[in-house]
Amino acid sequence: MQSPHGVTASAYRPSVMGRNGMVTSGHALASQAGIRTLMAGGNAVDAAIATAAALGVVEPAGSGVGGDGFILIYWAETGEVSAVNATGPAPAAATRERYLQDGGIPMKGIRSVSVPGLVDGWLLAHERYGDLPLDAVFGPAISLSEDGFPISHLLAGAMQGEHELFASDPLTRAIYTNEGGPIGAGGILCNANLGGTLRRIAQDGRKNLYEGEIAREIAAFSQERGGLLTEEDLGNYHAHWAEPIHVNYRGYEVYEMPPNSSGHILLQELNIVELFELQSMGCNTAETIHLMVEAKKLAFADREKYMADPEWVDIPLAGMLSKEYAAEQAERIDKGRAAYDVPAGGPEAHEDTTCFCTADRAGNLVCILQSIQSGFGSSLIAGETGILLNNRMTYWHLEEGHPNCLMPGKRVRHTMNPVIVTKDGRPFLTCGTPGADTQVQTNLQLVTHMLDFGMTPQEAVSAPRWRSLQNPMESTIPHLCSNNLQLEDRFAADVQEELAQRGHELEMVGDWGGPGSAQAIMVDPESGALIGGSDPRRDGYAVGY
Amino acid sequence: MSFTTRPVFMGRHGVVSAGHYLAATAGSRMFEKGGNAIDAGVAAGFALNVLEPHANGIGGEVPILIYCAKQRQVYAINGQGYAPKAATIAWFRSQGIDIIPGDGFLPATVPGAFGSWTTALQLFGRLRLQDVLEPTIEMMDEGFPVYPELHRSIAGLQEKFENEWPSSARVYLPNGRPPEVGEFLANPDWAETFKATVDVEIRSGHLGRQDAIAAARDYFYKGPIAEKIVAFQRETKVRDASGRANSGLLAESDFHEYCTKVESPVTFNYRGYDVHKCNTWCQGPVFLQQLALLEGYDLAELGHNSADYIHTVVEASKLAFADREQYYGDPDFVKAPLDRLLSKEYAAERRDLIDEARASLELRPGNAPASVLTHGEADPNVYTGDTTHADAVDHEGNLFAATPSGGWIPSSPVMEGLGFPLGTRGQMFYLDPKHANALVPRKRPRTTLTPSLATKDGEPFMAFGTPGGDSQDQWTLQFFLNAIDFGMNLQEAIDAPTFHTNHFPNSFYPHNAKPGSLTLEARVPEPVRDALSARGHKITVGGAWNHGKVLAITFDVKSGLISAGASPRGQIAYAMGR
Repeated sequence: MQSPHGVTASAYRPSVMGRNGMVTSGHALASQAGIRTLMAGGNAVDAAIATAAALGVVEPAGSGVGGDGFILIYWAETGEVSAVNATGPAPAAATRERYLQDGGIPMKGIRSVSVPGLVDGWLLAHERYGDLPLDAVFGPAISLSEDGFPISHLLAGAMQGEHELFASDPLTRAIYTNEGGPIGAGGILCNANLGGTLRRIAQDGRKNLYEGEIAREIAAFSQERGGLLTEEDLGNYHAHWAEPIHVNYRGYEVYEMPPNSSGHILLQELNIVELFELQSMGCNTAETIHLMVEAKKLAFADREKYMADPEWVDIPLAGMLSKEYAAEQAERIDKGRAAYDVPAGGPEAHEDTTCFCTADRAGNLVCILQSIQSGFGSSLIAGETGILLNNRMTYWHLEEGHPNCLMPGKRVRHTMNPVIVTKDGRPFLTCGTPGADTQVQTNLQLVTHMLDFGMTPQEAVSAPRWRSLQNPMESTIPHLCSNNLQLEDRFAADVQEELAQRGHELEMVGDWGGPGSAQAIMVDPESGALIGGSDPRRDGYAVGY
Repeated sequence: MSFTTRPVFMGRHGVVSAGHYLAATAGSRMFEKGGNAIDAGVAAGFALNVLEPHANGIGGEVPILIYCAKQRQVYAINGQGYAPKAATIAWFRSQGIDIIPGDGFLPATVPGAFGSWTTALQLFGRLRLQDVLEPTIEMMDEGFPVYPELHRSIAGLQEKFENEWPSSARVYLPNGRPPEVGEFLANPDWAETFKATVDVEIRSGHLGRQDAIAAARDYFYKGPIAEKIVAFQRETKVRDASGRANSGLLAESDFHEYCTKVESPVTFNYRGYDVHKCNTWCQGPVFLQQLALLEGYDLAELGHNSADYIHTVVEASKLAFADREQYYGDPDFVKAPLDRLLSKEYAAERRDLIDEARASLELRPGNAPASVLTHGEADPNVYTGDTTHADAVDHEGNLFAATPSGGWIPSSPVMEGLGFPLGTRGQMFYLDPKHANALVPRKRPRTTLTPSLATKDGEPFMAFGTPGGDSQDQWTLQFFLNAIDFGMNLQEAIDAPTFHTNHFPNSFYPHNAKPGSLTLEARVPEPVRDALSARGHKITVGGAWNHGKVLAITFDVKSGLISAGASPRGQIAYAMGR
């Protein structure tokens, strides 16, 4: 696809192209782990698992063995898109009543931890599609944890913010501080215990982590600290294959993760904006941004009302994704006026997650979202396992009647959503981003930038970004937020003005202060060249060969 | 920390920063094969030769600086070829030529690149030629994805290739048109050329790694490749800037007697850092002369990219480049008074010439009468070249910096059966016999290519460089000052807005000068531009991200940390490794 914009200088980075393989991830060393796996004869799934494991080491704030994830795979041989749900449920002892008694769900600490589901998802995907043995796939991550890796400027800043908490616990103090003092950018971070845990998983598969030695260590740690997570919770947990949801958008088939992921929002948004002539409305004009923001608000309202773990609630998903419904919803959009429901107020939690994409020469695509919820999760390391535990419990609602109300064994409503797009059955695009509730908004911008406006992946991820907040629909407790429309300063002044005139409460966030860290890989429909793009807002890095 | 266009790339094993992202990946593959920084740098360099054919090629040249950790010693590999024996001033005069043209065969020197890459590999590397050429041969066999800049470059050459250079059209217009962005571009002839050298290495394997590489080099300079090059430029006539069609002057003996020299660098200590450059066969020492002048100022005090700062740096550049013009030439033929030029006393005397309030419009070389500047206008139809760069650093502390250039496709036709064109570096000679850089047979033209290395107390510290002709040692200077005097991290130091002057005679044909000129990236704020203008600088405001493509890697001896940066300008350079 030829970009009508050329490669804009404001994209800052090359449109990285390769013929044999491509990895775009939140960290250069993780991308390199994936590329090395491809060079060693692995396929896109092997590379994805290698990248996934490495990210858990080099981006400890974002994701890891102690967290959750979703995996979306396009398999070229069959032309099928398949999905793995690797999100764990609330522990069996995690009742609503118990948390209410304790004054609510804590943001950090042992009671914020839910069953970590990620690794079983990796193993499921690897078992079906992987070509290389697990120890080869985990090799780069193991050496990064055991030999250490240099701390980036971004990670150094994040660790600084968490420093007091880390220093106060001997287990985190040993790894994330320099004998109690901060470690700056360029310092080396080692976590040999995590390397050992990865070695045990490579050897025994799920058995060790969920039913064996590691499970016992995690459960013992949880019990010692007064947590609710037990060996049974881990043993009962299984990641599972899920049926991806999809809609057709202007001839492209866009695939998403089904609930308990919020992926349906992107598809609902696309269904609505498809009814408008985006190209003639123009890229990043006030008219286009207004339409997208209003479409987003409608879709979020549906999520709030209907969406949670489908094993616990009935979701009218077919209706929500239908074109007829989108047409009805579109009628509700006032082209001249921003809609408001609920007044602003309340703090926001800083979300931290990671997204990455891999592609190989055969045209296989993988996109994974994985997370331990907010930065460094619960900020607790489970004993000698080196595993930083998640704080995913902070996504629950405690109000009865809310579809996402906490129940033991239920999976929480997730924001993570990987995207794969095919055209005429052939692989075309995979993309995604971390950023909690901003993910489906950023993905809407990415997909339209590339599909409607012909941007390259790098241009799309670098383009100025907006984020709409909708009270009280934030995923993280206390679920409250403003109703602002956040804009990066790089949006043109007249666009800002026109949006304000339509009644949007604008909040300017700086040139690059927008949400997320988007990654994308496009497959050139003519030549098959793999074209990568990686967000400059964080440490993202595209590598191809 | 301010926003940077990409993270500082940090690793501990080995990192490459190169002018093209696929070259960076090609280089980093060598670490996986057990190679060191030199293997990685050479692999990246060969890849750059084919990936950026509008900027460099194997028919061109490449100066290389290497810090060898084992010997704790810096070496300069003189990768600039010399003029043919037949290239005399008298011959050019007899043809009615006053300035050596920038295109065609007449400015061709013996291509130095292959000798330079293989010498580095042989003496300081660990892998075989076969290993370091593997990624490049793959890309030439199968093709690599065409990127926007290459597409634009080939599109601009389409008419010339179709009308005048059928051998170039065959390679670069494979379907009768420029390849689109994302299409794969292969070069089977060039692949065969490289494969033939690898075959020789394999056949000579019994001699041991080093001698087998030397045998491959002999195949290039003393065997069939030299024969083919000489035959093609002898039998083909190419219209050049002189207005006539000329065949080339290279003879087989020029190749047979060519030898890649390994030399000591020229070194200057700046605020505790030893900065190493190649000798006066390139412009390298001008970097050191600028440092010697600027050492006398508290630059941090002046404020980064303030009018005072930019003025001081530019005025220092003018003085240093005047000396380049006056004194520098191939040390085999000219003795430049480097001891004096780099002395503290000389720098102090020269510093007095800088007027804090006024931009100089004169060319003022040291201890010599000021010469008058020519105001020749550049011929917009003549390609004034591009260049690229590669750095590599490994965990042992080996540093590698190479600046390949020349042998680019806009200035000379692809040689039939070989897949690449000859270079045109001879255009940098003068036909004034009294000039330090005057043409003499078998002399090296004073090239602009200028890699940089820095060490501290004998320990490895930094490898860096950039493309950019006469601006190279201005952009790398600003980058270096950003890091050393202003304490920026590598990527901040690279991202920061740049400036440069074309005050002195251009090294490229037709050597025009623009006295007092000062080009600023548009991100330099308007009040600063105005203040500089008020001091008499002739300001040009360039694009926001248009000038300088610095690449750099540092090594921290204490922790073993390897940090790399790559310029966002041009959106093609990249760092890779782990």
